[in-house]
Amino acid sequence: MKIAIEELAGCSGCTIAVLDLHEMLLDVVAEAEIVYSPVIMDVKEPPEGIDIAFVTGAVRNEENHERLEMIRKRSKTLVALGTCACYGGVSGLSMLNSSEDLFSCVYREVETAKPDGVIPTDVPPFLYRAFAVGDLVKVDYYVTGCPPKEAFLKKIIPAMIAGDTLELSHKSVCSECDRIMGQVDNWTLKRRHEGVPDREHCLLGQGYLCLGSVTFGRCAASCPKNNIPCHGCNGPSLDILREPCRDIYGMMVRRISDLTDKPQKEVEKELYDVAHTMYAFTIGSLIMEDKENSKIRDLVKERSR
Amino acid sequence: MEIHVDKDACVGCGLCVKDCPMHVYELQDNVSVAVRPNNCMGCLSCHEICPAQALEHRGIYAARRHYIDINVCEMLRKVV
Amino acid sequence: MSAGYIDELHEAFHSDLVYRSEEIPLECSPKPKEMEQTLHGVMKLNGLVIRSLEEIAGRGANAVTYRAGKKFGHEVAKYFQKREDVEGALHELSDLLRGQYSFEVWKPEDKETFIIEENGETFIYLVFHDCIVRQTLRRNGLDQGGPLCQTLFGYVVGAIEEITGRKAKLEIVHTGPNACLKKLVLK
Repeated sequence: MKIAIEELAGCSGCTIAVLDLHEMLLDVVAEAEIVYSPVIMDVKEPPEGIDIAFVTGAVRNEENHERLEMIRKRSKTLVALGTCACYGGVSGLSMLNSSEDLFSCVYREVETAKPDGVIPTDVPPFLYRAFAVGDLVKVDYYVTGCPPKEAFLKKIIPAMIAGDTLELSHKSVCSECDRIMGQVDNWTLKRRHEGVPDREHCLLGQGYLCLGSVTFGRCAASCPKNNIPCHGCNGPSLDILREPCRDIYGMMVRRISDLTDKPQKEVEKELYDVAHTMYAFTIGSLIMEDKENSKIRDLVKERSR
Repeated sequence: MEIHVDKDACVGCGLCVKDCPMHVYELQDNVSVAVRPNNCMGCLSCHEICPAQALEHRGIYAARRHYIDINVCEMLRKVV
Repeated sequence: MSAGYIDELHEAFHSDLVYRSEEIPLECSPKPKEMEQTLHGVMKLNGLVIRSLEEIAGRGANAVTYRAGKKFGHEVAKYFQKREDVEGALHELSDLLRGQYSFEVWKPEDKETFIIEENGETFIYLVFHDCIVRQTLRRNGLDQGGPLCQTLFGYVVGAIEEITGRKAKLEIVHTGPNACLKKLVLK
């Protein structure tokens, strides 16, 4: 069996997550040979006849698009590994500014920019927007996570290589979190640095913006268990993905409003920087953008000209 | 009509207690319990509002949901 | 536009099918993707129209859609046998509407009969399972219980009036993602 791990517009964290299998990696390479992985191997081109190709990172420039088409043709099963490949992820945040603004900031305005201020033209050009892998080619499986957690990959990767099926929970982060709601009084939105959260009670009930209720699980709720509100790095929960009228921002407002008995308009006034707090991992996915109530389309227009 | 609440998943937020028009649920010991399951008419508003998807219904009719795009249906089936 | 672009469009709309007026080629089992385009296109169009109607006419939108439904209900019910009992009429109506709106008569567990008397009102609970209006509203991200639901009300009320001769009113008790609860109030 031949497997490959392709890297598109990503941080290579998902490839390192595969290495995080630690000793189990030896069992994996005994069954399957890694024939192409730019981050960890020197092979330059993916060979023909790949059985499972893991694609990480979003599609942002023309080179990413070409590599994606190439690896789709040369592999039997394509797995979108990581939130950038499934939903656009952090790479999708680049859609909040126009390409001119991005390049001028990176090549002219930062302190470490070269003094000549030249924007390179001998590199693959940007596409007009970011794409999730599933929007351009047919994907066989989606494995979300930023990066996918070790405990989860330890179950999935051996099962994929052996061709087994798994029964895993499809619920949200709240189902894996061990906090209870408790009383919710005088709710106001708190920034993460304000106050110290109480370990027992729900972070959302305490006023922190925890996206656990709208985020897909499988991470054993590691952030809430360590007193950090969830940021939604696993992508949206399946009920939000499915319904065209349900959206991350809308469901958060609704749940907060139902929990605190405040009208939805008042809750909306307290929320800030929706692009980075709510949609940090899902800008760039056509499915999330196409939802009727999605604010992504307005945010992308607002920030880029 | 059978309603099953997953006790490990339930966070005791009480949103299902507030939302249900037939008052089927009650909060007992920080977990939601279906005390009047036969009053349930299968609207599934509780499923939509539950943050942890802790609810399971048996014996209801599944209304058609033909308004969901084919590509979304396909993606849902492929999320591992 | 360059000539090449126009040629491409012309190519797309050219076919070699033979069209005889007595034998127009029909697509009776379209592919799911094509069916989806038509279905979703219709849903989107309806949703957009009803949203604009509500923005312009405000509360009047309800009156427009109610009347539309009522006319249709009267027309359809003319095919039915006239009867006195409302429950029988509802049974016939439910058979006819199956597929578009399926509903059933329901009662909470603490009541004994389906016809309930409370606060001086006589009513029957109806639970609507499949509902084309709910599907349209959810496709468009609109809230349930608005003017489009009134078409359904008009339909049921018009049909009941035609079949039994009794005046009735339909009220929403609760809207949900899988079923909606309505009250048929009899006068």
